[in-house]
Amino acid sequence: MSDTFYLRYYVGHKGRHGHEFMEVEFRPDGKLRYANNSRYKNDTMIRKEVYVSQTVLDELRRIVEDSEIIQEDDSNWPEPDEQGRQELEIVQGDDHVSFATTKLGSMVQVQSSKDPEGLKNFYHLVQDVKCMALTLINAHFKVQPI
Amino acid sequence: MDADVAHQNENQSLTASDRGTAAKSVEGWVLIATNIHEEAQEEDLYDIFADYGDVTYIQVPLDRRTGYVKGYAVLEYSLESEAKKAVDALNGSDFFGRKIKVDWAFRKEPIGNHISDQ
Repeated sequence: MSDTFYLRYYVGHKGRHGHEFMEVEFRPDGKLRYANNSRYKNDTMIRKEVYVSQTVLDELRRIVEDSEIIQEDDSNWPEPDEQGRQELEIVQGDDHVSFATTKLGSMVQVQSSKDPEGLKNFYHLVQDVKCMALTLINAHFKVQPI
Repeated sequence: MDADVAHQNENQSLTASDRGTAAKSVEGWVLIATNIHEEAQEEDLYDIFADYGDVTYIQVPLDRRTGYVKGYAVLEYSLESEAKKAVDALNGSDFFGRKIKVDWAFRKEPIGNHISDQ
């Protein structure tokens, strides 16, 4: 697959401990950027970057395509609020989508929203994205990201 | 075989183009395997990869929606030669009825920069 694929995911909130967030970005040239700013234990920000192979990008793209997230839209999703914010931005060939919603605490919250099916797709996809990014970062750097 | 000779032999067994793109990770050489059948389990993957060297790390993420594996695995060998043997032997091979892809997970430079990317 040679046409453009890009994905960025952000989850965070601003609260008692300041701005706590995690962000993951997969760029078309293979650069995987990971940042985690959790102030709970101390003030360290973790930033890691590594280039992944085309096979890795192809697999992420396959996961995104299977989720059918490109067909969703966030107009009926809960807005970002004091609980937090999630952002997902994807470029896949000619498609460019971006979503913003609050931090989702549970499936109950997803099921009781105005678009449970769409939000459920989002909820599962971001879990898969986080899992892939953390698996790769952990394998390469052998540090346990928070 | 003493450590120096083993290390030299390790370097000579690899072609320049293979080593041109793959990047070493902190503790070894990491591969990704994709198109894994959802009913495969970590032990099944470990078994096929263990033929080529000591698998020092393996993760087979699950699809939390289905409970089956998501479809890819990330694994590591300490030696580049072991990883290369696994890629050569298993890339395109049949596993649970599917043709799996096995490749290096990480690279030293952006995609598109290396001649083998063209």
